[in-house]
Amino acid sequence: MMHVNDYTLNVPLPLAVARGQAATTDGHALHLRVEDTGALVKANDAIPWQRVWEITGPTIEDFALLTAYHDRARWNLWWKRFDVGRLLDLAPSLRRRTVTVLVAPDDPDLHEKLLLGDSLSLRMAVPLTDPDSQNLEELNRVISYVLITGATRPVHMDPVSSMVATAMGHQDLTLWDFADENVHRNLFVDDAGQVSLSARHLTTHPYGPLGELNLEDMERGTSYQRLSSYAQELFVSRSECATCRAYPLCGGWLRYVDRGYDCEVWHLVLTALLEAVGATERTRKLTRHR
Amino acid sequence: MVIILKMTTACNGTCVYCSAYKEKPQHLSVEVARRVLGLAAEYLRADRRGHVNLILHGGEPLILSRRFYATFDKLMDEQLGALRPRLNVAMQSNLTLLTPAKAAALGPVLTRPIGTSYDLYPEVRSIRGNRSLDERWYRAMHVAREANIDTGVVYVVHRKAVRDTEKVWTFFRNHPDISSVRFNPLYAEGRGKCDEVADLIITAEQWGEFLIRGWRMYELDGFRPSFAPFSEFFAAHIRREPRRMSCAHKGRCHDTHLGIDPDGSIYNCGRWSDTQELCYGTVFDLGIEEIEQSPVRRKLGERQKVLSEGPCKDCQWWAYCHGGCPNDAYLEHGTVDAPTRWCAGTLAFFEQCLRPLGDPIGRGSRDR
Repeated sequence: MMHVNDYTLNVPLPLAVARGQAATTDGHALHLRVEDTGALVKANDAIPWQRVWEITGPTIEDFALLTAYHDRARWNLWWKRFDVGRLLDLAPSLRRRTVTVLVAPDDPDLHEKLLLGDSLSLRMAVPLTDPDSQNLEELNRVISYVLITGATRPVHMDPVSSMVATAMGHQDLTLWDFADENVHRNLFVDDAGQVSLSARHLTTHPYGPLGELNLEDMERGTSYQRLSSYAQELFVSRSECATCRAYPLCGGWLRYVDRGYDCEVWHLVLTALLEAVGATERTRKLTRHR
Repeated sequence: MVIILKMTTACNGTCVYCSAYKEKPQHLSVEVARRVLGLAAEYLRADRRGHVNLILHGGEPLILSRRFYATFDKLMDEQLGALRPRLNVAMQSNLTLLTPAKAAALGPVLTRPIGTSYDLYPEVRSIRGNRSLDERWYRAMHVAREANIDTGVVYVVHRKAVRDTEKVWTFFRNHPDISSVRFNPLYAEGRGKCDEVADLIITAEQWGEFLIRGWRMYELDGFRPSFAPFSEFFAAHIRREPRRMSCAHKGRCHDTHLGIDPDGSIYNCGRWSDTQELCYGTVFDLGIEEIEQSPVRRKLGERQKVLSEGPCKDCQWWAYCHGGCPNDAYLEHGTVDAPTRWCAGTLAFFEQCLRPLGDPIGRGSRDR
């Protein structure tokens, strides 16, 4: 993710273009949430494009109508209607590194869509919003798919592909990052202009209104401090998370909101991934030096 | 050449097994510091390609003032001059006294990381006044990061850690502030000889158990963590690079190491300084040549011959161990001419973990 300053501001389109708000978002990369594609076109002149990094919301069908905007940002596009013929038509424009096709975790055609999208070399993702947002059985199947298929050709299915990259030591991102909840990087703004870490933290960890956003004050505030000292706290208190095998991927994210959250199945899924990657790396190192 | 310089014997820590504990604390004087740096310069002049690795040790070296380190910095210039780039300076500390001001004073002195001790069990390590070591340690780690001072952890393996090997391993592997760890077995020296510590002291078999279970974790993690001695045995056995092993396993410490007390007494390393045995003399009496010719050094050097022709004659793992640390042997057997007290456990580890990956490298092997 690109960071113009410290934070990426996940903000609804109307707020991004509203007079008076732009000043407070200066210096930050904007991640626009677009409900209505028409509104994006209408607001074109008012959008600070030089700071727009990512746009989430349009469907893959909408994207076909936004040709003039394709190169202006990274796009997260919803694939809702399971129409194979239409997907084949759209595939050439979707097959670019700046486009990720999103499939809802509760989509009845989730598995088929992921496999079909991957077979067309599209970057696929199932958005991660909270610990219960993923179908863990499906996630486990995707992990096997990514590990096996990924050994012969590039496969991009998030959050699994990002997890694999972390497990292989290519990055140190965790579920906090995959859910856009990295306290040092992400800010979420709701429709009313209230700033928080993410949508689910609006009431529990409010940072204040966007118009009055002052990063220094925000970083000194209780909500921010609680979030940013969380990892250290896990180790100081010798919590279960500190000695959990899944920690390199989880980072304590699963239990942040609810310390008693039963993460057993998540734990199995994540440790299976870590062990698979560890076994591959082990074999590679032993083979290389023999 | 590695010089372990005891900057002080005083410490703000109350680690129950401290091997360096002394009743009467003593600090390094400017005169001794000057002479030690002079010895380093003498060594560097004699060996044109060599380096000296100076490890500022204790006690707790951060007890010394910022002014002392400023003076030490000047002494380095005074004694080494153009040779200074060939002097590497590291530190071993509990880190709890590291403040931004002290980090700034250390900046010009240190060229290598600070090795910091840490434990999962607060009842084992603490600081005076019942204050939280953790809180201070984390604050200090932050200070070190801000000052661009690298850190690594030294972990003393006691009985609780053996019981919880997987937990200890995973804790350090997960820890966001820790990138390298050296696991050393707890041995009975200093406070470690007290009855209260008896429950923590480990046997050779328990050390072997820790190594075997730790190696399983190392395998699970794809041989990735930089956790010694596992990474060193991996380098020796898999990559055929035995030179990466630590002083305890190379069998060359009689050539490569020196330990110097705050009063200037010279020993073969910091551990001998803790034991207060086999003293060479003092920095005021001896030059590098006399140190190299010292009867103590010769006696330690002969150990390799004695062991390789005696008790370790038929051992296939000689190249990975060389009889282990002579100080360990001395503490166990009262003589250096015996294998390390960890022999049985280490052998079990070699056979169970390394043997299935290939036969050991031969005696006298060098890096591939």
